[in-house]
Amino acid sequence: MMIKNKNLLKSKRAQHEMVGFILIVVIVVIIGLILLVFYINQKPVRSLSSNVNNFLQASMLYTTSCYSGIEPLSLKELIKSCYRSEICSGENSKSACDVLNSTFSELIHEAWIVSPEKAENAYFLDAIYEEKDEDEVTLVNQTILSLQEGNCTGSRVGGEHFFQQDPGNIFVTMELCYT
Amino acid sequence: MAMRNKANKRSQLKIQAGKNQRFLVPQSSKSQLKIQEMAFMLMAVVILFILAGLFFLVIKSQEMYKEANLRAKEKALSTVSRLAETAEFSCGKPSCVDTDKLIVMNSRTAYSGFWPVVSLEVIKIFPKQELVECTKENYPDCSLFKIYEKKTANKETVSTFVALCRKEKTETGGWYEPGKCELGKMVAGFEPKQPK
Repeated sequence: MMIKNKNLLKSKRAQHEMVGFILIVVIVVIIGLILLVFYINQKPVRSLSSNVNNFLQASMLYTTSCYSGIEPLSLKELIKSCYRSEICSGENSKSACDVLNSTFSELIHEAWIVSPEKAENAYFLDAIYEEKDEDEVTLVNQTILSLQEGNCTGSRVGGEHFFQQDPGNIFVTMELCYT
Repeated sequence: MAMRNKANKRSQLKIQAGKNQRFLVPQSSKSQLKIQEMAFMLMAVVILFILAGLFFLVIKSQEMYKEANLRAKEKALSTVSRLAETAEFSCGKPSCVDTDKLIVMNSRTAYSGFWPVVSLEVIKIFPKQELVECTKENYPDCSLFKIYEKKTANKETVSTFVALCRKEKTETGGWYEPGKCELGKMVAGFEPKQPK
């Protein structure tokens, strides 16, 4: 009778230990799942990139094929010309915006190899004219150029360059998506 | 009387238990076993701590090398960004390099060791063209300016975008201002630290 009781006691203790062990495993799995969900749902990190800033600054000086009279325009002047809806003088007489669109796309294409297989999988570029009054209230917000390529996954890095276009400013912003 | 005899016998047995080897041997081997067990346990704990320490040291040293390489990379990147602004290269505008100056710097040995990098070159990237090293003979129809190169077994590079401008006449007879500009990259090499 005593041996039977002893065995019963042992088996109960073993059961308790098993339940405890399973409980620990379940708690660890739940914590792991919570951390995983938290990690997956994290918003993509956005940060400033000196490389993108340098690219924007350097590309603004690029001499384009668009002429204003006898003067060839830099990319910065071409953006201004596009904002004023001007036509390039010369053989083709294309609109400044068409030349801007094709030149900037090619420039980005050569500078950053954007493709789903590469680290840089997408880019967004916007040139916006913005005019504000003395109280910093936006009076005009006009998109001059908007380019994008690829599907953005992963974190984003970006940069901005701006210059004056009386009476407001033109902001050129670029964002790259990295995996 | 009988009670007294019984107590006597029991006390004699107790004395025997203390002296007789038959009683002593099992007790002593049990404690020896326990001492051995503890010794093994202590050894295992010490070995475990040594292994954990070694693991920690290996990870720390790897992190240290990574950190050192990151610092070297940042230093090279900041050098290359500042170089474009120096009088030896600048065209007078931010992030702009005068290629006429580059072609002169091409063959200068006086600057070797002046910059904290192991190599320095400028590559034209747009408009795209075949990679041809620039000399005084083929300039400006070339795309690679090799300014400085120190021979090293191991090299990594960092780069920054620059505008490459040169004085040139337009088709209409005027001058490009600040020059005819293309897009390029200034590439600096640095020597990464590696574990011995």
